[in-house]
Amino acid sequence: MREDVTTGAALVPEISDPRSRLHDWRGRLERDIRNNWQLYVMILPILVGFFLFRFYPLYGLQIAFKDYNIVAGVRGSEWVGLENFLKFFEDPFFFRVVKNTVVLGFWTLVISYPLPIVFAVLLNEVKQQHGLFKRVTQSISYLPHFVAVVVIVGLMYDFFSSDGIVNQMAVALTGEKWRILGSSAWFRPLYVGSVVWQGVGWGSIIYLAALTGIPPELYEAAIVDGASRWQRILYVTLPGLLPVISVTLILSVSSIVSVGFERAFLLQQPATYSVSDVIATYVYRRGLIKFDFSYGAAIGFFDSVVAFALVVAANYIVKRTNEDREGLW
Amino acid sequence: MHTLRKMRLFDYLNYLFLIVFSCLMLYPLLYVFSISVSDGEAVWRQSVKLFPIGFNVEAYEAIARANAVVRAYRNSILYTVLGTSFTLIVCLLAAYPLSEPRFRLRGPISLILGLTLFFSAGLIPTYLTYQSYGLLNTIWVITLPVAFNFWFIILVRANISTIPRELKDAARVDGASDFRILLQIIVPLSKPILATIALFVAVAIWNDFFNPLLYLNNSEKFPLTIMLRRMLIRGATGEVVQGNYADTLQAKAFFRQVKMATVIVTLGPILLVYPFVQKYFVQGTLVGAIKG
Repeated sequence: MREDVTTGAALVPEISDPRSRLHDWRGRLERDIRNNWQLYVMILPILVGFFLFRFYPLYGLQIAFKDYNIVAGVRGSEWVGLENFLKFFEDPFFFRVVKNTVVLGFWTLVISYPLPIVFAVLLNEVKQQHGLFKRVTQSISYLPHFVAVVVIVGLMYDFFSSDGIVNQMAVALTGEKWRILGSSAWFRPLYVGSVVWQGVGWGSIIYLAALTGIPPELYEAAIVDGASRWQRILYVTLPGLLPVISVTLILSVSSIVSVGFERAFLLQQPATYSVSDVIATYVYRRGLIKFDFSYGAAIGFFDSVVAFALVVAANYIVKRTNEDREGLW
Repeated sequence: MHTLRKMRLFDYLNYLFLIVFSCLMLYPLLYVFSISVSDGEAVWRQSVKLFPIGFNVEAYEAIARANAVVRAYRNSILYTVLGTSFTLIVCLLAAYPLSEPRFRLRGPISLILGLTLFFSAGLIPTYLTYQSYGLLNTIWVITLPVAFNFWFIILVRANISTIPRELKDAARVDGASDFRILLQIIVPLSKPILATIALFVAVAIWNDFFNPLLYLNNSEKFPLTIMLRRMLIRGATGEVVQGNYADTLQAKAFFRQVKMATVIVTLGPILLVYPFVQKYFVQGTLVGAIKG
């Protein structure tokens, strides 16, 4: 209270004075810290860690609008406005990396998104008396999810090599070898195929969970009404999955522009850059390998803005098209 | 429910499809194992297609002698154990205060940390920042940043708020400090969610290729994933495993066995615990999906 008098705050009605409210708040905070100091001790290292590893790098994002040089550092480098972004739009590789990213992301989405739903529905059709068969199939299907991407790609290099198991089969069937690795025509099928192999089973978990929420009475009623199996899938199973489907769809749309770095980087070879060089790998090569930090940061920033816009747009469209006007937010 | 139990043509086709599907998932792994333990001669004659032919563990002995692989294996274990421990510590230290109504800054801090779920600085700014900390080429750059994941904190916080208030209040009345409540009440009652998070993080670090590629350039520090790339994709198995192999065809076949053996020992820890921990993984994804 003494402080209030010296600053003159006490003369003014308390509620209308923001300074006294601030004082009040500070007083309560100080009391809180005194009483619960252990909680503050706990949270302190967490705040420091998040600041160092998550927030401070955001400050470094400004180099996307600067001409970064190592000597001057992030702060000292010269502002150049949107120059790095304009440079990217005029880059001869701009069209190539954007097209490759979108095409690869598109095919990955179109092929790998629906398959877990199909798999979950088929698994759901397994008879109740064959529960063990269902569980074993499920467990096996999750397994590839735990295999490192570098292992999968490494094995593809072995299986699809000129004397690998796939070409042994090709020779047996057609009498000639296929050139698969290092071939531009094969890159996309290989990429999407490896995503599917790894993700179908794991992706089905969420749908299988949603399916257990469908009351069995619905199926019984459908059977009494004479619905065929196909009709039961179409009118009971799929509507039951629809809420989950709309959420997962929104979340996966942004994957069109954010093709994962690891798989593309490991699977690509300079010979296939015309189809395999995506935004993420281009950022890595230009930004880190060729030390064009500002340029790499600008491209990365551009990519994440587009990804964010796509999620917002997808959410808007889903909200518009379903009756309940329900989206992610 | 007679109609539901009877098998029809659709069911036979469906079962057949699911069996073929399972085989497709398992075949590559079985093939890799078979190559790694088959007789050297069977491998270079390309007669191994499915099951092992003969039996020999020379490839495994070779990687046990290869210092680079052993060191990488040790590094991977170290990074995984350390990174997972850091993650659990961060989760607990953050989730407990953020679930306590007595903690006045709970709201603002949750909000600010929550921003990290939506914004990330991207590859280059993050790289430059970690570089300016002097973290490049240290084990800390692989194990520390991964621990500060607000998503996991949310999961632990949600779990803590289901613990009955009376338990914590009673402990406080008895004079227990916050640290003691955390250790003796919160931790024991959060074991399932902590186990789930630990499994997710451990697999992610064990399989991580991106961060080591970016931040490590000293071969002493390389984890298995970088070594696997050298051997399987760069075809540098010969440099990794020194040996005396006169005949090139035989040497080539043996290197293939070494590669496959390395894949098997990389997958080994995951495959061994997988049957026992699978349910935690599934629960984890579902908790995540529902909360999200």
